[in-house]
Amino acid sequence: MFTQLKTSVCFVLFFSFFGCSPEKPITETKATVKISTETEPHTFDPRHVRGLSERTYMNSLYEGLTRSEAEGKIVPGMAETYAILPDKKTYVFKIRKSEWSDGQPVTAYDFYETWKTMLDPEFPSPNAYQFNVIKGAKEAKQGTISYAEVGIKALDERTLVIELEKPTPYFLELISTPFFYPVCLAAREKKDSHVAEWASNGPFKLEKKGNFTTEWTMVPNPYYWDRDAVKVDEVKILKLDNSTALQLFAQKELDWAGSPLSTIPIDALAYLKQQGNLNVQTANGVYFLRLNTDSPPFNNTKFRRALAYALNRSDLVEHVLQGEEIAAQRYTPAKANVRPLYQDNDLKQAKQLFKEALQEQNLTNKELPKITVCYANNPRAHKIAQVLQQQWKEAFGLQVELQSCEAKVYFDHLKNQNYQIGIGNWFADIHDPISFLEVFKHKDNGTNNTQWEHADYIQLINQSSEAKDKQRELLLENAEELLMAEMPIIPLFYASYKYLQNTDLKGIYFSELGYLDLKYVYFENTTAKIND
Amino acid sequence: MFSYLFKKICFLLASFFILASLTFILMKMIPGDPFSAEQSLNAEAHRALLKHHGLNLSYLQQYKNYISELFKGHLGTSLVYQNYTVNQLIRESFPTSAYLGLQALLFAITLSLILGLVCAFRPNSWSDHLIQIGMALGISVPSFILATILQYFFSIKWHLLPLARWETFSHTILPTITLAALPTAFMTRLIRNNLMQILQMEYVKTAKAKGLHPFTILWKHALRNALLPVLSYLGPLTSVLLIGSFIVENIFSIPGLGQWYVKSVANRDYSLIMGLTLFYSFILMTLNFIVDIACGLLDPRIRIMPVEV
Repeated sequence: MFTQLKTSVCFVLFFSFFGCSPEKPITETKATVKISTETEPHTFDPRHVRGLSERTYMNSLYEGLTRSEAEGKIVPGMAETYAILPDKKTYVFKIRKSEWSDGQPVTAYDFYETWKTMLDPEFPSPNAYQFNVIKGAKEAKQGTISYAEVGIKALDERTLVIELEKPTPYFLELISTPFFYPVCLAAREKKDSHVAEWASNGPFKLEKKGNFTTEWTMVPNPYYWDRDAVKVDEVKILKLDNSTALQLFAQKELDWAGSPLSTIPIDALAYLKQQGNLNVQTANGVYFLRLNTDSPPFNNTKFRRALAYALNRSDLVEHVLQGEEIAAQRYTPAKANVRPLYQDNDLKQAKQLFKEALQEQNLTNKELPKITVCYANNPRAHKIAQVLQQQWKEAFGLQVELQSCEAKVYFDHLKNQNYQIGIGNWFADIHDPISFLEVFKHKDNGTNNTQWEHADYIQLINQSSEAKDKQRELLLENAEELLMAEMPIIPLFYASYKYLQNTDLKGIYFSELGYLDLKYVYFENTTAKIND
Repeated sequence: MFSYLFKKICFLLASFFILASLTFILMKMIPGDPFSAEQSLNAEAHRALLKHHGLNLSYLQQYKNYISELFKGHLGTSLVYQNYTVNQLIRESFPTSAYLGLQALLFAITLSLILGLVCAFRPNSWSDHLIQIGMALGISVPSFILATILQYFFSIKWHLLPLARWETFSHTILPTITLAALPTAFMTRLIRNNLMQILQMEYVKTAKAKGLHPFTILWKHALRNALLPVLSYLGPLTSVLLIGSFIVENIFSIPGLGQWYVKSVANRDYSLIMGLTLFYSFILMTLNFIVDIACGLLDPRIRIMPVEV
């Protein structure tokens, strides 16, 4: 008994002795939005943005000439007005009076100089190709012409003129993406300052608070031109384990969990749906299978189509993924409900095509070697692969092997064409179908990886860039029809974003492009939140 | 003494250099590209990135560049997390891991000492059996299971302690217990077994026969010898605890250094892999060196310095 007591006392003493807290508890007195993230932002510099996860930060900290708001509506941002000249290739932007978060004015020169760094051949920007629609930008990036020759001119502090290569109907949306945001002088000149000290021109600014590797705080930018629209005192993005985030949300310590910054574990989806807590937003993205069209039997179009038609995507979506994804009956999501390009689970046609494909290759079913589905190791991909294995076995008696790889090894396999079937996805940066279709235009495009290239497809995509409105739409539709007839990729389903949201949190816009617009966010019941 | 220290430091530097070279070679042998992702870069952007980070150079040149930067104290910039240099990441994350590690270490030492003494003094009693069962569990239950159990009871069910994050002292209790469980169990068994053996030895019996107070026997004669193996274990243990645990930091969302080890390898973040490996080895070697000296002080029979004949 005495020993037990002694142990307890020591335990208590130990904690009393070491009871100095790493930080003093802070009493919450602000309207703070708390959002969970599973990864650290790779960068806070819009010129280096690559993945979807940084877009929420970028959209909050910076603003481009235009701004994409609810339902993808494009509204003026840093440009107060703009004019499109009759040639449809020249845009004249009048920059509004606004300031960086350090009080310096935002001018046309900020855009001009930022874009100059982007188009510097030595500057490592992953998305400089997005500038290719601007006259001379591609050549400047390749170093064959100087930046002065590019179709970007700052006439004065308030006037920016951009000349395009060709009329580009989606240009105003394109310049609302982070790739076209301006950065402050310190960022441009690579001054030795911490990224949190960089000025930003968007609704929020970054504040160095807490540990900068697991917690990122954004507070309203006092100099933002539309400061009154920003209602909350701060937004905290907290790095949390996905399961921990769910528990903290249940304890009301988080206002947002799940997409776009983290993932709700697939096993929790059914329960959350049953509880009525799960929110779903459609995504401008598609999951598909890449087929290595150089590797027999995948070099046979009929074989590829047979595999595609045999799949029961509805089953996969409903019973396995459980996240309100939509079975894909074409590649681009825009017309998914209007015009399917093949029928899901069309077993009759699939079997016929499979038979013909084997005859063309002088093979019998028994002689057909095992086929391998390769994927980056994660629970979702593994479940998808298991469904494919089962469905193709049932349809054709195919022996399918599953090869789960570490992500970087998987990408290496894709790049070196060391695979037969790979599970992949594509999330577009803008709403236009060209953003999807261009991926498979050339086989040397880094993301294509199928070794498929078709002269007619290239021609249709090229023609679409010269055409207008309905004609353009038709050409892109024809291109997609060709892609689906050739089937170098097998679309599986259109992605969806799953998330949990505090019901008091309003004004937040979750874009189907995969980011949160936090500019107008507020708490409906402010006093309750402040006294939390 | 000085010549011994000089030799030891030379040995540490040589080990450090060999380790840096081996890590560099192994790192370059792993397949994968730090810039590859589902949505690939175009060839131009990829080339520019490789050039920017000096990865377009020959391996030998990259190695030379790295070593020369290392001599200046620069561990490089993370290839993936562009907001940070490796030095910054270590500076921001290490204090948290070290705080948690030290707390877990002190907790483990205190508890294992108490439990070890209880077991050794009353072997085969019910308290000994109970503690032994607890220690067997401490050794065999993986930390992620223990962490989840602790979170479930203390945070979700009883609302006594915070579930995760790193804010106040109460936030540190569950990760401390999780982190300390294995070393506590291991050290308790070590102390118990050593102490039981020592208490049976002739010199202890002599001391008893001479009428020395049991506390004096324990404190002056038995415990000191029983702690020697524990001390040898403390070197590597301290370095492991200080450097942070990926699992514990991940589950409790602690902004420590442990998480970066796994991430750096998964991302093929070469400069981060190198920087963290060197930092870890520096801590490990330094602590082992300190333990060597401490062992000599604790037991004069152990000669850490060569004896001149």
